[in-house]
Amino acid sequence: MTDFEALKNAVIKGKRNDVTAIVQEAINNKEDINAILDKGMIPAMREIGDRFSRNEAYVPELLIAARAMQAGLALLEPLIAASGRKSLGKIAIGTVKGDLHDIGKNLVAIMLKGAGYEVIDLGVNCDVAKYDEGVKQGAVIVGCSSLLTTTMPYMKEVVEHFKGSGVKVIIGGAPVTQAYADEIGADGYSEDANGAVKLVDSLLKAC
Amino acid sequence: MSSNSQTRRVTIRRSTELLSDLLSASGHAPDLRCGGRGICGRCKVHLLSGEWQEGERRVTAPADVLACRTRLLSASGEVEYTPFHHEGHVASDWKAEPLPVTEECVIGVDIGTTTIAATKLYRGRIVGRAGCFNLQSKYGDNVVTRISRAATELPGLRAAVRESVGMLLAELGLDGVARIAIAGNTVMSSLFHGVDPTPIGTMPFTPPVRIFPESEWDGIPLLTVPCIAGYVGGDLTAGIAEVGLKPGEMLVDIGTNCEMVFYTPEGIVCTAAAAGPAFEGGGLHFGSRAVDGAIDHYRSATDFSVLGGGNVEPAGFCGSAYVDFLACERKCGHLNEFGRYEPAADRMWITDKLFIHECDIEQLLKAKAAVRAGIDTLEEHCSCRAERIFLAGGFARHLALENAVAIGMLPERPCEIVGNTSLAGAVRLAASPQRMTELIRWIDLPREIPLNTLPEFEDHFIDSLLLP
Repeated sequence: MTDFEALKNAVIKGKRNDVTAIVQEAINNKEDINAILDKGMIPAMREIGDRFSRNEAYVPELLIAARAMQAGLALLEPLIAASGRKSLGKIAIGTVKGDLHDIGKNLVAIMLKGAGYEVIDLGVNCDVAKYDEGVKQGAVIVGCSSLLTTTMPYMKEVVEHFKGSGVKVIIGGAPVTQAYADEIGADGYSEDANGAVKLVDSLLKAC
Repeated sequence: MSSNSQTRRVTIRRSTELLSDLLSASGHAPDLRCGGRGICGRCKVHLLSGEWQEGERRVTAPADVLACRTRLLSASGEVEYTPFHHEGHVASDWKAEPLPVTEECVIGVDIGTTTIAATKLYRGRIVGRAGCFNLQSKYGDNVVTRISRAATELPGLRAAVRESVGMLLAELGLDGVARIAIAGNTVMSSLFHGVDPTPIGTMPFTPPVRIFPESEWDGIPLLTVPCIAGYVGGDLTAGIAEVGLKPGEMLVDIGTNCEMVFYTPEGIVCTAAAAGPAFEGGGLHFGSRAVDGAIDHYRSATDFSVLGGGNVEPAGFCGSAYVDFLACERKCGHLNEFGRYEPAADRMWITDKLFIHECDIEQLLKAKAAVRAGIDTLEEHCSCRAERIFLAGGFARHLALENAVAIGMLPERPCEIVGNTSLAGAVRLAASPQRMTELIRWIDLPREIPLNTLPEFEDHFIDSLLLP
């Protein structure tokens, strides 16, 4: 039987090898995928995120924990798909056209996965057509990221493209502010990766 | 009237203009490092009297507001604030081959995003040095913000950088000067010449111009060191030519953008990593540039040195002091590998006014990780190890190398601090214009590698966030 506390601690401490070992053993023992996620991985990621929000953890710890989480999820993902597990919702996320910085975007993607969402990672340099692909695959929320002041304005085009379609557009990244989100009429903004999870939680609850 | 030498009191009379614009027009601009976008919080002013509007919010004095968001509503109002320092130590020395001895008098200028330095040369001897802050800083503290402002304010950006350069040239004196040469990053070089740098702002970050034609300043011929790529500019061209980069050697210029040029057996590669403004004091509670009163070296909370001598009260920390701090406090166990205090605390007090917060450490770890991840990714991608690393730029000049290695910012290799090689290269070009041919040869050699396209970059970045 998997020691869920040990798995949680390994994720929170960012011990990638320990996470891989525990998850692999659980898979070998044919344990319930839902239990591994619901009692180990997801509470761990929620906890590190909450610590981050309370200023008890900082970006370095968050990134290292997220990487450990990702290592475990990589083993689980094929099984999740096969198990027919229902995700909390589907989100497509990508760095906007003209920009190729993706560490922040990747962190948000892992945090969302860690919170139980299905994430379609569209990669970098995403134009409107790319975000559309995500929506065609079932995404109800589109996340846009940008690191450069010069690429941020493309977010406006994405927001305008999805206006009235029912798809919600949320934005974030170093130069982005709540004021900018309001100005272009985005459905949401978050200052950091954990805030993005809370934002998605609230948007999907409202649906 | 000011209450002490640093703060300033100003009365504003009926005006619909932004408070930041009014203060700038008075010649004492507040710190507008984010370009007046209301996000850096550095232009905070204290309202002493009057009715004001900050953004959508009506504010009655006394209150603190951001000058870049605030306008006066009442007939008059008084404010108190600390203007942005335009004094400071500008790096203007270097380690390189002797300069050519010619009969001509020439001037070389290094145009940095933050600071500008100029040197006058006559018969192989330096006869004058001058330095100042780039007046463009009011448009934002980093090149990307400047690019975005150029879309609508190109003439203003051009005028600001030329005004700064003009002040230095006037200070050095243009009488009898035969030639001027400038070197700067690609965005600064473009803005100086009034070229719109917009293409550098988005993928594939192509520079509009790499080789600038000869121009004139007050009738004196002016040459520009050519640029390599959008984010690897003439300052780096000058640097690699000055050190005479050879196989196995890497030149690293640490700033808000950290540029690297690496000479491998398979050719030269170059890249830039976004380190952020932390090393220049940006985004930190008591971060400072190298000005009098800044702590430049740190050994413990009771043992540190302050620029400007012993009688100056410490007012902040330079990047070099933060590097020392991380190394020393990690070594004696006050910091864990994640950069968190042990025993748990959110900040450590260094003097009765100055502290270093865990948020500051977070920013510093991200900055040092970008530098190290850049070096490691280049080496791994090229399957080649740098045998020798040259460190150029103002920040590196104050850096204690052993501490930079201890915190994992630099690998343990023979490192040499070479100073402002951009300025050295500009002076050399001014003295020997025929050198342009060689510089143009250099700019076509490096192949640019965008770090973010390499999957290993993220892994190296995360590894490098830790304190060894």
